[in-house]
Amino acid sequence: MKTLILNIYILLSSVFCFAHPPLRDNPGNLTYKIQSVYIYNFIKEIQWPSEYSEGNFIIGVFGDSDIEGELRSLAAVRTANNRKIVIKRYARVSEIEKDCHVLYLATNYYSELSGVIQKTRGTSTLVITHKEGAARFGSLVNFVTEKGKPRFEMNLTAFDKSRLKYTQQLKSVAISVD
Amino acid sequence: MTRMSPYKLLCIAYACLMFGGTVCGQTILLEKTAEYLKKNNLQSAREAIELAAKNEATKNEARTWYLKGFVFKELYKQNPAATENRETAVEALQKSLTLDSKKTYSAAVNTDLDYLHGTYYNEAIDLLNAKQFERALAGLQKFIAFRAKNKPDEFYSEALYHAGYASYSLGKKTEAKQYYEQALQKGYKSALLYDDLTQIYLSEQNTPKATQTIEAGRKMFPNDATLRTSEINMYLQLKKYVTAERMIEDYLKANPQDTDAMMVAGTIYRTICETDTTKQDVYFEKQKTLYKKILAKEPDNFMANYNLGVSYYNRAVPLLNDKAADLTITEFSKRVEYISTLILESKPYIEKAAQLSPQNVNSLKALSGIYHYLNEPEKLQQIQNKIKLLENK
Repeated sequence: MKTLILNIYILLSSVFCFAHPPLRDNPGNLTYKIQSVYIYNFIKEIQWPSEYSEGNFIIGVFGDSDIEGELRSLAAVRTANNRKIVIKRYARVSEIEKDCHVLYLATNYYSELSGVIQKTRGTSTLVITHKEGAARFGSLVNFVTEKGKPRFEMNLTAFDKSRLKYTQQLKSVAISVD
Repeated sequence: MTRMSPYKLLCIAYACLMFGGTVCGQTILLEKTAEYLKKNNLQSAREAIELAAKNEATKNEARTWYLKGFVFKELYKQNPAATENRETAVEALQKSLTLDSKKTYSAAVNTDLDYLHGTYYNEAIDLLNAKQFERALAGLQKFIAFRAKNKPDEFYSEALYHAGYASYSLGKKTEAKQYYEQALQKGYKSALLYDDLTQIYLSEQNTPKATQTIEAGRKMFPNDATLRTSEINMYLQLKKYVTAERMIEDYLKANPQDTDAMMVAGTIYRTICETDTTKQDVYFEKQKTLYKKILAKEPDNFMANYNLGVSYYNRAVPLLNDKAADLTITEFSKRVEYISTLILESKPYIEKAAQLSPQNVNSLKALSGIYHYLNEPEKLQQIQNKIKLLENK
């Protein structure tokens, strides 16, 4: 009588051990997680002028970016010096509010930078970008990658103009740009 | 082979009618059948025996149905594709048994039935190999039903196992379990049986039965790699990490060159690393050491490259948990540096994995994440295009 060709069997169990281990998070999220924690640290290390000290602490995201989800998760469990953190999304320059504390410009919307700078001129909105060279074009903080490591640039002149006071700790870990 | 002419057949039938009586019917139609069989004239034998089976004088004779079964069995042998002949043969032979009070034909009938059921078994094996589980199971069930009454030998217990496997493959876990348990009870010895049955008990969350079965299997087949892996898997599923780790490390002490076992150990270390936050550093180091050891022996081992790359990456992820926001900016910047080091370490291994298995979407996705993190837009675009192509295939 015939015998079965055993090797055609799909073993029911041994698959588990040799399965591809999954990545524990969407790789792109790491970058945005790091940026969102940095932004939270900026809130701790930067002092806004007194007219920004009332009400909610507003973080705006200009354009579509995965950072929005990370910031919302953070805002759900953290405060900014006991003030509620509110995440707002802007699609047009005209929507940007005067009392916005932090404005993150999504990378794909970099072409809007000059409009954003113009709109926030004379305010104390901390404009943050993620584009090589953006700090020299007016953003106050610009996330960059240096030798594979995420870092951030600070445009010290722009900081002075915006009346935002920063700690030495913040400056010490940043790449200063004039 | 010559067919009986309609005229000749009519004459035989007429003679039966004229003479009436049992003796004539038996003598003429059954003897004719036997005669045609001797001459290997199966078509004529078929026509004669079909008449006999309808004839009042012979239709209740055990010999008639034995001969009918025999003729149709021969017809099936001649053309195995005509499986309806086998069904007719089995039915006729079974009827013969019920009529044969003196057991004159029962030995011969059982031999034919055994042969025919053997063909169900053989056919079922071919069908299992072709993954036609429904049809395979139907054939095996016939074989099992016959052998249970007549000859519950090693093929019977093996058929029970195969029926269990076919049922399992069809998603019929309850039936599968019954067949497997019967196979075990009837003494079928196979590591796969112990393995499959363990999986079923585990899926039912019947931990004592699963443990008992896998341990019995391991005792009977101590060197079977599948069972060893299954037992370790079981302990992992039951969150008995220490036992799983001890088992694989004991094995590796005795078999230090077994890279498959090293891969299993790597999986255990990864699982512990992901589930026990207090031991992450220790088990991350253990993973690294192990995979590097495999790669020193087999630099082109895809899984070792991929797993090592992913273990670096996965070590980075929990460093960005909710508590990361409690760190000062100086502390956090140091942590980001460490995370970046891990991602940079991960890169060559994932690149190698993607090179070794360019169609593997998992490694390409991991690589795209790394390029995204490292801000290498051109490479990122290339990889994303490859992923799109593969996913659209």
